[in-house]
Amino acid sequence: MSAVAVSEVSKSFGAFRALDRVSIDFPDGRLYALLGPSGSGKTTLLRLIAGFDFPDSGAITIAGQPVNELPVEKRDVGMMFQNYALFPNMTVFDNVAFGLTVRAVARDEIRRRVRETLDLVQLSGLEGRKPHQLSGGQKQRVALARAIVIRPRVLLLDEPLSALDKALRVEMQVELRRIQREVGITTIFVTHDQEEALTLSDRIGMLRDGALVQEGPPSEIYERPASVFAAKFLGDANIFEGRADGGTVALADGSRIRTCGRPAQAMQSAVVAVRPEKMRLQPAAQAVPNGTNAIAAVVAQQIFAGSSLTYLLDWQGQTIRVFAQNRGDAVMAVGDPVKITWSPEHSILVEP
Amino acid sequence: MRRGGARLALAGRLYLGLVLLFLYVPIIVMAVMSFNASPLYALPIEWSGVWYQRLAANGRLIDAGLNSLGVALLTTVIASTLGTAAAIAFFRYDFAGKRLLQILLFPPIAIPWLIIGTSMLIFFFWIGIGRGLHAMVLGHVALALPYVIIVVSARLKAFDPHLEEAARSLGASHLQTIRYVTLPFLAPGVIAAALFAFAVSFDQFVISYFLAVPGVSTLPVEIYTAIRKGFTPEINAISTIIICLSMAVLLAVARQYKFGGER
Repeated sequence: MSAVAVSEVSKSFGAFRALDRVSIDFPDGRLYALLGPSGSGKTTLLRLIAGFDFPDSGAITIAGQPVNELPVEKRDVGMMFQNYALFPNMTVFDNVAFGLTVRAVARDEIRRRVRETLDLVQLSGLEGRKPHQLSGGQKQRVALARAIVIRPRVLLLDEPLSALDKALRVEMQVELRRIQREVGITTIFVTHDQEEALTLSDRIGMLRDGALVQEGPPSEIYERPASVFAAKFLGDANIFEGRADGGTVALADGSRIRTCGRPAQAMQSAVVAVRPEKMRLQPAAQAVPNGTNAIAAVVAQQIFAGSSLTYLLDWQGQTIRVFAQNRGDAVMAVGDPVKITWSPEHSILVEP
Repeated sequence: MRRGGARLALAGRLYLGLVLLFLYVPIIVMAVMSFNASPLYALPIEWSGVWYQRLAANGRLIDAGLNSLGVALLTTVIASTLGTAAAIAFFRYDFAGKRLLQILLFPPIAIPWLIIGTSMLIFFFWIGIGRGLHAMVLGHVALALPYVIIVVSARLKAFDPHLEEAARSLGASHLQTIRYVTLPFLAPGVIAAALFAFAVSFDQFVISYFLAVPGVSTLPVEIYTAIRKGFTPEINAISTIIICLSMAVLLAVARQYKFGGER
């Protein structure tokens, strides 16, 4: 059973349509990432699930119960805000205890549960501190503890890591994942950061202009993007436009590309996406193995980054990116004519 | 350059010193004179508590002082409560005429009190409220309200609305949210506003003068009346007591809340 479900949910702010008939089932106990650029409606969706706003149409259920009419304080959701929103006048202990205090939980139990939760987020000993005496990472742990101590039916995270610096972010990603697993709580988080979505989540829902464009496990969305937008927003992609022709795609320079899945016969134009790390370079003169896609290009630039190399190649006036591991192979020089090769299964037909 | 900077700093300090001198010397002189036995301020000072004894026996001044205190406290409570509620409403809700209402807050601060006092006297007389301490409280609340709203609104500008959302997501009702989250954050602002309201009322002469009935007046009115009849150093004595009290309150508040600093 899905822990949270939204179906056909729409929401407008004035003339701006923030969400347009979005339906998602959020599976029980899993971490679900709502990924999209700003203005895609992901935060709006999170706020609708939390109960800060109400949908114009459509239904939201939490654990099977329709919650359309319920205000936020009756929904039993734990929310962690982007800026943490810790109560500045309260200590760490009082912050975490807040949700229990307003529920009139017995004092002994409050103490026990706050201790437990602070243990879980590894903040024991800081109970008496005020928020302004905490580091960014500690603030985040307090915010998380405060949200989960009430044992909510769903945990909502709004851009959970965006306020942290790079090193801390990686550490907190691991932490968030560990804590979420330990508690086993259904978690929905909003992010515009593709890496965060890929590493943290069990499932990703990609939003664009208020609509759900693709949904699935991270590897599936990465390996099989459905559209140019999905391919480019989640990872890097080279996009080729051509015409479907006899089971292959004919490109502007006359070369033919075999793809994963045959383009429909009737399709006049076809768009193919290829991940840069799936491509290889070889000298132009070298023979191409049978069944491999190949196009001729010229090395325009190479960017050395220690363990890896990025080549920018010129093909038909279009820049193609190719990622290569620094394995000590022959390095292609700028101006070299080369062939770019890749396997047909890495040519993904996408919607324009 | 550097020498010029040092000279500028010195000039700045000198200026600051002069300002402080200008502010405090008259007060210090008054306080010292309240302990001088000579009613004519003869020097050298002959230390004595005679004016304080005389003050203790002066029923009119004491009564007026208590009236002032009562009116000011009542004004403070009413104006702070109403003003804080209004500021929260301005902050949280959008409604028709909000901007106009906000603009309408300012003129009462700018209109001369003489005119406000006259109009209040006429208006209160006309609708049957009449004169007296109750009319004074009404008048003072009306005067203090804009100050309270402006001061509390300034504090609210720094308020993160996510705090209220966080409280509600944790299960707090509207009232609990205001009680545990909004008000504690606002407290320094509300206290500053309350001090303003108290000062506006306690200090008020013009409007109180218009609204006082003979025999029941506030301290400023009573002092004014007394001075017209001839100055006595008892006024120095009561003024000194008031200054000490207000300094004590201010220091206590400043210790509790570092205004503008840590929240």
